[in-house]
Amino acid sequence: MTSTQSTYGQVHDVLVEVGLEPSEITSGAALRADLGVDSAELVEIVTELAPGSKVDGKVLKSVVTVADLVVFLDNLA
Amino acid sequence: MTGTVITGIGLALPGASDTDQLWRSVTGGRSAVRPIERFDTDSYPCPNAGFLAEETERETIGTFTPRVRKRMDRFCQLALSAARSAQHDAGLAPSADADRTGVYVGNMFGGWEITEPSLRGLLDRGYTGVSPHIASAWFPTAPQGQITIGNGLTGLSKTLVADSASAALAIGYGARAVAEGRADVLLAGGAEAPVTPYTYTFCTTSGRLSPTGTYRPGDDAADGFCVGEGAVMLVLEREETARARAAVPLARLAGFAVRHVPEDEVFGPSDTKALAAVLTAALDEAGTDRVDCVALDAQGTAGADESELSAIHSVLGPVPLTTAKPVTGNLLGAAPAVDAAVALLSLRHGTIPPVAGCERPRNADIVVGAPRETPVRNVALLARGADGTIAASVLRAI
Repeated sequence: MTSTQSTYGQVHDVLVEVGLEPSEITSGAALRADLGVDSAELVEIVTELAPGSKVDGKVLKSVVTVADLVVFLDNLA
Repeated sequence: MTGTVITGIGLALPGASDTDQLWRSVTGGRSAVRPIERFDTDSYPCPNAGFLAEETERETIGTFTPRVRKRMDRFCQLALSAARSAQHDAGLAPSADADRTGVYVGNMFGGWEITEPSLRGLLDRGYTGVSPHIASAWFPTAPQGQITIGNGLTGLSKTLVADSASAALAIGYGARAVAEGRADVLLAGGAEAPVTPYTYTFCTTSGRLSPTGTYRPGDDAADGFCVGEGAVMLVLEREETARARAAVPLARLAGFAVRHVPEDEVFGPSDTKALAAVLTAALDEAGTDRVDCVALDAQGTAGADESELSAIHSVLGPVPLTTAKPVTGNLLGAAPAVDAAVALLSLRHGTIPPVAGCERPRNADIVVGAPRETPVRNVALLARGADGTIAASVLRAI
């Protein structure tokens, strides 16, 4: 995850992998409200994208949109 | 208890994805209990269990998307599938009054299919090796949660845990709640998925599994049971609610009684009086002193079977006795729901199915061999849990 653009691509791929419709995935889409990603699935997605990372649940609560998730992952790197 | 009727049956069972398949299996005495292949059973004394074959799985939980399935344990998927089928069978619209529709589920062990690999992950990789889905997957109330969330239901809902009597309480207490007007419609039944290495360890250490890998309750050679996985859900509603939406009631839950005795007495000779008292109480509520057959609790040991047969004889005298549990394996917390489904089918078909695997019945009342065709209007159902719970119900034809 060296750049925001490539991180977005990886996020997109993993969201498709977990069963989301590609057409519904946009940078501004809300993970829970628009895509039905609950907190457990969000942890699963983060763990998939950043294996072994020790996810801070409190910080993860601030991740609302796909764009937020990209920023969150970039900050982990 | 008057006025609570059953309007739908849904199931996901070993050998049966619908009631027609279940009926063919039980009347044919065809058991789905077979060698466990999911894990090495060399260290377990009983190598056999009832579990969904590939085709049955494809027709039931296999219809859910991987994204749905990964969020929940197997017992929860089975419950969700059975609930969906029950709603369909009852003709319940998805938009049925959500505030007045709820779920009562009986379960004994919770679910461990997601948890067990996570415990290994915890050991190998620390806490990041634990699936985040455990949080909502393992506990016995998970089916209640997933069925209500999945259907947007916000009515009265509960999970009943009482060992192998759990689903009897879910259906019985559910019927009472409906009769009292605390809900208009309840999906009530049970779910269990005990065929995982860890859960099967609990089954084994309980001492209730057959060391010969057989399940032949009422047989002179009975030596325990084989477990099974699956779920059965029924739709309960008041008769006027059902009639108002032009649903056809399948039967009435006419009587229900429950009592608790010390754990060390529940399957022994001293249980006889308590079981007879519970059966009598259920019959009294149903306003009858006779039934056309009794669905046995069927623990499948000499002591437990004898105490059950003695209790029934003391209350009812000679009466045909049966159970479908050997066909599916004993579904533990969900087992009473299996017998309830089959009792409903007995009422429909006027037939009492035989006890599969019972070749040398210890009592002439036990139906063996061929199914018995006879008018069936009232069926009593018994259930006991190792926690000391004893329950009896009476189902009556409309």
